[in-house]
Amino acid sequence: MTSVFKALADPTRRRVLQLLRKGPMSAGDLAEHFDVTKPTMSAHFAVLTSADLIEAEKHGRSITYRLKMSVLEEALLEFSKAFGIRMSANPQVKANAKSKPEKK
Amino acid sequence: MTTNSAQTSLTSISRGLIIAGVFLGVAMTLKILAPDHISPDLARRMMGVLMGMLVLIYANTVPKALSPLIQMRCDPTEEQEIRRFTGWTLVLGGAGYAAAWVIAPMQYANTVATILLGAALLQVIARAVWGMMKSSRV
Repeated sequence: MTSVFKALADPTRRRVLQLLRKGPMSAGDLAEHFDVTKPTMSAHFAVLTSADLIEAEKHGRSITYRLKMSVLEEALLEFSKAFGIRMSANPQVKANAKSKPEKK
Repeated sequence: MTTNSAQTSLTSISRGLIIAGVFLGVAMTLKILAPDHISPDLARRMMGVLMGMLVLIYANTVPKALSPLIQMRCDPTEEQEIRRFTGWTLVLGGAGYAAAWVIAPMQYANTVATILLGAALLQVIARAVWGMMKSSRV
C-alpha cells in the first residue's frame, strides 16, 4: 500500500493515471502530454508499474500502458488530487516546490 | 508460466482462500452463537453485512483483472470502460447491500438490500450489452 501512496503523491504520475482512464496509450503518446525528459517519464512509469497501478505491454518496438487500478485505488487517486490542490494553495509548500525545480 | 505470474497467481489464490476461510469461520461462529448468545436477527444482519462486504471486496478488484491486449477481441478502451463501470457499480451495490442490513428495519432489510444489489447488477448487465452493441457497430 505504501508504494501506491508513493505513486499517487506525484502530480505527473496522477496525470498519467488520469490520461490512462480514457484508454490504453503508448509510452510516446503519454510522454507528449508532459514537458519532461524520456528518462524522467520512464522513471514515473516504473514507479506506477511497481505499485501495480498500470500495466505495460510490449508490441514490437512500442510499449502500451493500461490502467490497472482497483476501485479503492481510484478513490484514493481522487482523494490525493483534492489533497494536492490544498497542498499547492499553501504558500510554504509553493515556495519549497519553487526551490526544487524538476530536472529537465 | 514466468516466476512473476506464478507468484501473482499464488498470491491471489492464497488471498481468496484466506477470505473464504474468514467468511466460513464467521458464518460458523454466528450459527453456533445464535440463538443462545446473540439474537437470530443480529446473526442475520451480520451475515447480510458479510455478504455485502464479499461483493465489495471482489468488485474492488474487477478493474485490476486485465487480460492481455493481444487476446482481446473487442476495443480495449471499451473493455476498460466496462470493467471500471462494473467495479464501481458493484462496489456501491455491495456497500448498499451491507448498509441496508445495518440500517433498515429487520422486516425490510432483505428486500431493500436485494433491490440495491439487484439494481447494481442490472446496470452492469445493461452497460455490458450496450458496450457489445457499440463494439459490433464499429
